[in-house]
Amino acid sequence: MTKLVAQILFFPLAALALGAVNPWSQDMKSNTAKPPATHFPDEFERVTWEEAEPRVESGEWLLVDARDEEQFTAQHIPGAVSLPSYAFPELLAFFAEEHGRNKVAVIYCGTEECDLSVELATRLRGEVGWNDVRILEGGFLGWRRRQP
Amino acid sequence: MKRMTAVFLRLVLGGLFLAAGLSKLGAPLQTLASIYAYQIVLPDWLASTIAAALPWMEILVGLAVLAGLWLPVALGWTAFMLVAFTALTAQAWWRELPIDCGCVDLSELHPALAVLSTPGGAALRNLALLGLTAALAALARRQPAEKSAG
Repeated sequence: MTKLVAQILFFPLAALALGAVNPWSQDMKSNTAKPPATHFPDEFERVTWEEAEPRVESGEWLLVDARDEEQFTAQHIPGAVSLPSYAFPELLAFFAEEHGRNKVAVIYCGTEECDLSVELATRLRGEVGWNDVRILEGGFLGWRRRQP
Repeated sequence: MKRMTAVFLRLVLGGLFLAAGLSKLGAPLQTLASIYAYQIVLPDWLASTIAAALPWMEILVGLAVLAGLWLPVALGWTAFMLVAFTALTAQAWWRELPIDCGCVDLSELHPALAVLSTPGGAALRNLALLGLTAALAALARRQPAEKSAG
């Protein structure tokens, strides 16, 4: 009987222990606990989804998803356009021409502390001279948590 | 013959759980987003814990089923997870949530299999796997009896 209980408990307890030390799980913890681990100078203004939503809907602001295309295709915030942070400079220039670099660009990636949004914001400002680039607070996960 | 069938079922079921766990292992945020996509009421700490532990649970159970180790318990956990997945995907199907199931994408094998990643398809797939689990449990129970009779 004790052996059976031990076997039953082994699976969830081992899974919890392994999940806690799983290096990839640190991504989730960084969403709330760790300071930003960005390698890019981060001087960008943060905006909340409540601030951004009406302006994105009216077309005044441009919502940009900096994650890779696969993640964008799987799920994204409605109204967002995809521009992966690793896009070629030519694509960045084309994107700026296409959408107008005088618009406010609100960029997001997976979480609040992910690097990709700051990386893309830095590139948009530095490589194509985008005037007003901001970061969406909480990223995709923050938006998802606010959904009913 | 029954022994061969049991081994085959163990390979299919264990292999599927192992593949499902491994596919989630490197993408906990994606798993977390998939959990939120089901729009069930869960505190953040619980959703994060599930997203971190679920891949390992699938891997451990998959390995145990493949190896035939602690089979009754491993099959019990398999059935528990499949019932939970079926309930989740069925409610998403019922509420017409526009999501994929966050499970193994079989469309890489054949495009027509993409339907198995929709909430409805995934619910039916999980039910089929539940049937497979029950069949394997029944075979595993009979085998020791057959051995002692022989």
